[in-house]
Amino acid sequence: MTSFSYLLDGFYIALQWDNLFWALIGVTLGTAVGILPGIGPAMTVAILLPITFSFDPITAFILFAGIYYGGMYGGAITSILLNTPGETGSMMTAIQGNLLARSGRASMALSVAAIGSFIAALIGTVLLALFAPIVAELALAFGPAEYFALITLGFISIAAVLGKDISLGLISLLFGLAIGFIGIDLQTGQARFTFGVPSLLDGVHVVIFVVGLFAVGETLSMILLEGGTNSEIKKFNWQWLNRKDAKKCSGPWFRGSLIGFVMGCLPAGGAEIPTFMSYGLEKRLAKNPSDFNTGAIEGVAGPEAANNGAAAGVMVPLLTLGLPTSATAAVMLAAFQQYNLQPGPLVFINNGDLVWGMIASLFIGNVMLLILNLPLAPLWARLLYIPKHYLYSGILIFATVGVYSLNNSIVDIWIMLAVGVIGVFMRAMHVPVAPAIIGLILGPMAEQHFRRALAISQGELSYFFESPIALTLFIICLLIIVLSYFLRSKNKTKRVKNAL
Amino acid sequence: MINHFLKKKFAIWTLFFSFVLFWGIFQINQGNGYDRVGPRFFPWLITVSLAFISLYILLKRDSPAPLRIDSHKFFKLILPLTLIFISLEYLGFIISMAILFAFVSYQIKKGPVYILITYGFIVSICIFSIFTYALDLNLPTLLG
Repeated sequence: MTSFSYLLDGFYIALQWDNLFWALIGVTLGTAVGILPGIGPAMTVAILLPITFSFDPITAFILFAGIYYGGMYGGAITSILLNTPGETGSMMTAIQGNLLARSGRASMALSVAAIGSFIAALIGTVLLALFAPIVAELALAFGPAEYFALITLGFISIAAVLGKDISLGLISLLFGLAIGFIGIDLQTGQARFTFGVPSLLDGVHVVIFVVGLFAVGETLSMILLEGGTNSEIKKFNWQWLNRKDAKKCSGPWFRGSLIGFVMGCLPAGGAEIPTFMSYGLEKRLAKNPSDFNTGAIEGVAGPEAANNGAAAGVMVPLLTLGLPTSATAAVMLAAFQQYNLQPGPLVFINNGDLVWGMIASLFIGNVMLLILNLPLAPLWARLLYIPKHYLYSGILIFATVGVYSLNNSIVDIWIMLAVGVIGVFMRAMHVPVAPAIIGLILGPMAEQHFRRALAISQGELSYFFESPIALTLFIICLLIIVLSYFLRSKNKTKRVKNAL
Repeated sequence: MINHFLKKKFAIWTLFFSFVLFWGIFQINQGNGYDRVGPRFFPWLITVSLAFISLYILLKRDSPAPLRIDSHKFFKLILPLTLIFISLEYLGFIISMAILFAFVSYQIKKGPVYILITYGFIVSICIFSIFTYALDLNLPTLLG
């Protein structure tokens, strides 16, 4: 039997009424939790694990897959409307999405996100069904040198979010990097930047940092910087996508989906790096880069597709190698173990029904999400009509619940509040907040892979250029820098000529 | 006061932050066998970069005009928020979050306090019930 016929069998399983019902519950629940800051799909799946113990495994995984994808889209809703992403994968969507919402194009931005999520999930799931074993083999070729090169590429991509004033953008990035090094060094076990505070030994959880900087920072800024009124938000219109906008988004949707899927397959890819890369790529490819100052739909389409593409990509190492590469995948691995199943090369043979049923349910879940969310986009946009004082108070309560429930720790709430206050000062000083989060995520990863590579090569730096994959990635980095420099000089010359 | 400090001394504060990081670096044990790239290497790289950029901002260019933060309003917001979060452990989730809701709502838009408190209680009871009974999460209750 080919992958296609296995997939048809999977559809037969996933299209049964009870499975359809649980898929619907999953996507609805996922969307609902995705909206809440700090409570991502990983936590929801973890919470539901004991409850689903009596479920049939296929039904349970269909429910979990629905939550996963629903959570991805739910995160986009609050990112776009309220500039408060529920998790790191939605962070890049917030940058342009919120600008669009503020200019009255909330419905359109939500539609772009919904269709982008659908296309990415569709492409990702097809690729997952067809190429899972091949991609998993490719992912295994990635060692520390290759990862370091990949993360370097991620850093180069973020130049797009540094803002107009590069020195302030770099301050933000370095701040995030410094926060990322708080805690125990994984290689030597030494405490770093903890200043004798035991609660800091585990480091600052990225969710606390994101929720603090965005949700709390946004709320406090609303009160302190905007005096409680947000005059910038225009009343939205009910306009969805027109043909011209859809054409504009088609490239970013496909590019984002592919970037997301490939990166998601890599054991250290995650959902963040592809969104950074997609955003950077779309900004570079944009016909009018100045649109990114006022709200560009390409800046929503690309990262949102990358986020969802990565969600499908994450399934590849999980199913084929038993390697969880994201928090949700790790919880799903625990779910597999709950049912005495071991993901790995044999899972497609031993538990074919379950795996193909789950893959088919990803298709169905995404169709459900599109059907639910495309007509609901204007309704979601009505969130902006909730009186600001109630809305932001509610966000702060949900942020508190989300952060507290990570470790049941009050210290996390203190960190959240402190980061929120820093967020206010950053906004007041026009320091972009996105580079800080990127630094927090990428910094420790870059360091670990760099040091691991040096340990393997016994200190030889040439090791980084011996691998063809790493070398290619470094050459791409160099090309991006050189091309950006030339394009900038060309634009400068053009501007001078025009001025003359 | 805060605006003056923001406008004139932002770079000094980031420089100060880099000094704190320098101090932090000297507290890190290097460990044996990690002479070239040990646990101090990357933090050191970041701290030096931060110090240089802060100096660049301080010496070479003007900081952009910051948005106005009223220092009186700032402390009137942050101090009660701190107290509310402290009370979370003692008063429990429902009471603390009801106060938080009412306080933040009042800061954004002045209104009758009893209405805001009532709404705060309704919202926090709903959230508490959902998270405690439906999702089985342990939120703090009154007196632990």
